[in-house]
Amino acid sequence: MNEFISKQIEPYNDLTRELFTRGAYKDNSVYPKGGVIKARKGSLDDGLVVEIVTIVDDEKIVAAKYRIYGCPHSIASIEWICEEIDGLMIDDLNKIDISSLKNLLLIPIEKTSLILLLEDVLDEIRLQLELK
Amino acid sequence: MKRTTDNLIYLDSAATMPIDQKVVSAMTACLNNTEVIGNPSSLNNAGRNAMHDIEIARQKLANLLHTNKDNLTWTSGATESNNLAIIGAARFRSHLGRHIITMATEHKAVLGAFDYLEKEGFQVTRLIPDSNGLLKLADLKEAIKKETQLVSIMHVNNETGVTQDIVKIGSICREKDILFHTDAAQSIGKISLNLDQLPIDLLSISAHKFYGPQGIGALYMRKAAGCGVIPLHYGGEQEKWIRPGTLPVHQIIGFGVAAELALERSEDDYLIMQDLHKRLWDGLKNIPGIEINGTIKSKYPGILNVSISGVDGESLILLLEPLCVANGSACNSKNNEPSFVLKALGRSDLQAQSAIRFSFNRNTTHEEIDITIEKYHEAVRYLREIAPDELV
Repeated sequence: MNEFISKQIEPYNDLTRELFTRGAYKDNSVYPKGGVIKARKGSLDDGLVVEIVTIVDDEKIVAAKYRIYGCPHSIASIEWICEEIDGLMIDDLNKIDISSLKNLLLIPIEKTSLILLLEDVLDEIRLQLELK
Repeated sequence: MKRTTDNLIYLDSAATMPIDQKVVSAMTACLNNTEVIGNPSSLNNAGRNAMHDIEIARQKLANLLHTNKDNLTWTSGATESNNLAIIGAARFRSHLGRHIITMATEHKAVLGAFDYLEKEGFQVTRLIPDSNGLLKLADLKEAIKKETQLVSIMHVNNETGVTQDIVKIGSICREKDILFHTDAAQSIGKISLNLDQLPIDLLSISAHKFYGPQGIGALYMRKAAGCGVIPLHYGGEQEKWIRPGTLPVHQIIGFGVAAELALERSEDDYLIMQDLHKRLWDGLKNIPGIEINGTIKSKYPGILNVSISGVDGESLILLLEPLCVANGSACNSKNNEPSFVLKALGRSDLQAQSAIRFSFNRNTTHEEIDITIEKYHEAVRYLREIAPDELV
């Protein structure tokens, strides 16, 4: 019962808190060798701007970095996504399940647009990879 | 599992003040006192003893406000006082006119009451302050019509600390025979007011904003012809039929002690607040893109509200933990909407969204302020490091 009440009150779970402050994949503009693919979505007016840079070498994503302006859930989400796609073969990019973030990070229903926007960013990366 | 409160630095005193230990002692003693176990409305000894202590507390609050204790009605807090004052007074005077005036930066407890009256057929004017958060007196004068019966303008704003000139506002109303109500939840116990000499007809008070218990407040109502309220609740003769319901003896006693302490300490406390405000702002003001919300010239120094560019407010608050601060009013901070108060001051959505309110109490230390400054700098640095270049 206490745990149930805590979940109702506490806006961020432990994983969200950890990913939010980790910053392991923040874009420091230092990239390994490879082709650079950049995708950016969102707007300041909506309070969320997400940018992912992937470095692709020999059909493999050898680095994933981000820049972001947004809430703790969005920062934790982008950190998770970059960790997931770093090292993936580009054909495996479809296996990333953004919707699982809802449960992993307990993203509240009023932030559903965040999930949609993150899916748009990944779609943009996939599209650019196909066009290359 | 509750979050740890180790190393907690509490800078959310405008939401609720930490209760004073003398207040706790008085309340505990009351709860343990077998002589005051009665219902204060009962005529037996236990009830009369309880009522005796309630009247002592009422006198203590009256001393703080420099008024007669018969002008005070106990309520559950400032929200109820605001509703009773605004809805009650507007209805009381509705046979004379149905136009009422407030300001867009009021607390929701005031704005909600005005919204309700509007649905009841009252005509409502909501004045917009200047970019400093101050009411333009010319706007008030212009808004007054012959049907106007009530003006409600808060004393100290709960988000920015901006302090309105309630003497001038009240005088304008008194000249026109209009009732003047002020929500003084953020000023009573902190700024000395002599209600018998001020042009104020109705005033809302909350105990927990000045070291008292939560759940208890009061409404001041001047005794004068044409000044009154129609009750919102029925079913008891307590508080002269204005506010029926069994009085919570221990809370009222705690409220009385808080009032007594405020009378002794408020001048010293004000100096403490000025010192803390200066120390914090001096430590923050050189950060590029930071700005203070509301004028610094006419404000209660226990509140400092700042916005910063290129930084999301919700993320900032989480990074500032274990500092307890607020983004906007506590009553408004769960809906993720930018503060309507800051929007009314002309702030953009982004500026309002990045706003943090720091509010102090007499136990706040220099060390806590210095840690706050350091953590704020660190948090801003991190969020700007991960932000897209053009936002920084």
